[in-house]
Amino acid sequence: MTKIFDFPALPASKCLFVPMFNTQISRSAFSGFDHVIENPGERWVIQYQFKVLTNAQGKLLKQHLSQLRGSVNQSRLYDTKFKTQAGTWAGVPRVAGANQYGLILETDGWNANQLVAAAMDRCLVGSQLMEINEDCHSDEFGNATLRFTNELREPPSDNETLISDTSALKTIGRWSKPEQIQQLSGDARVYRNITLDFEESFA
Amino acid sequence: MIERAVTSAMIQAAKATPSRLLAFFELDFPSGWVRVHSGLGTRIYNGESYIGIGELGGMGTVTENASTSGNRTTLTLKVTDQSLLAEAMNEDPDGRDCFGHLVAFDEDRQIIDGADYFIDAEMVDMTIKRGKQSAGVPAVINITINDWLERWAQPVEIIKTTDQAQQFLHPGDRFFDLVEIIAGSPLSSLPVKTNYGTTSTRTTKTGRYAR
Repeated sequence: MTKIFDFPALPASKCLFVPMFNTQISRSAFSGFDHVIENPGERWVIQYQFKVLTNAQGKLLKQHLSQLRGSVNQSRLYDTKFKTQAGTWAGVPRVAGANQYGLILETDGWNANQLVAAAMDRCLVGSQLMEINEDCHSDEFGNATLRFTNELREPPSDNETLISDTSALKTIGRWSKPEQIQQLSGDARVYRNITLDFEESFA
Repeated sequence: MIERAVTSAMIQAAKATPSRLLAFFELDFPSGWVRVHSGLGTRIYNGESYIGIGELGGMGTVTENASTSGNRTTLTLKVTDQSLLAEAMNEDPDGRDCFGHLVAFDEDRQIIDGADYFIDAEMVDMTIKRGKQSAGVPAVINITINDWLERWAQPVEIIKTTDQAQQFLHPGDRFFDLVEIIAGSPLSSLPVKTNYGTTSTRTTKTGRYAR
């Protein structure tokens, strides 16, 4: 049974938090022609870098990593740099219509005629963290079509509310390189230069 | 068996780069239809709901030939859930239908079109290889499928010309009831047919043939 633990609030020096694409390319040696295959299954990749952590912070991190037991348990991860949305996200945005899938989502319930979701904004649809790919404006009826970078895996139910509160924008991932535990060799006062890699897990 | 009635939109999608194609499969197991696709999440296609198995599913090379011999390929599913494995082991899908559809998606990952039934086959074998959970090796369900030409190439039925077999097929019919007696008799005692309008020959005491 997999358990989910919250990643602790620690001062990350750098944070990578991007959707990774699932594409393949093969090139003809004869004509130089590129054939690209685009598969579904974009997943968030997350990397935290901690230049310096105090002993207390290091202990907190150690505790979290020990709870993860390598890649066994999951961590609820957040982007330390993502503090505000660029769009207004005003209104009560909801999914408009059942059985929607792919990179677009019809929504309603927005305040009319405004930039409701800007490119690189994020929201939660169900439990999946989505990244908005281009600016989305609501029409006079409060409808808008959202375009995503990562694909909606499971069709959300009709009228499901979109969550845009930045404190809730987290994704669930696994620790992809458990050997990084070897970096946790602190001296008497601090831990230095720790890098941790995670990947979104689908289940 | 490759479906020939492919729309021009599907041909364009199959040749396009980037290519966004997914395989959708339907398998008729005794406990019910299993519908899966090679992407992620639930997708509705032709009114049926398919579950995405992503990289856990695999498909062998699909071949075709101009002769009348069947073309086999394999479908694989990696399984980490041991209870599912036990469930699969109780299934006997041999001889049941298996259909494959190739489905094209557009840049918004919406279904554009599909080449339906590009595989119209039946399941002919299912093997289950137990994994090793401690080493992170998943179990593998391996299903061999074959197009209808293999079934066509099989003998229709092995019919024995014995009374026992005839009674089994058509109780009461005595067409073959003397076969075993005839088979066990010496050749000289049997009536002989010729092509000269006679029904039988026998030797007279004088050694001449009488008609």
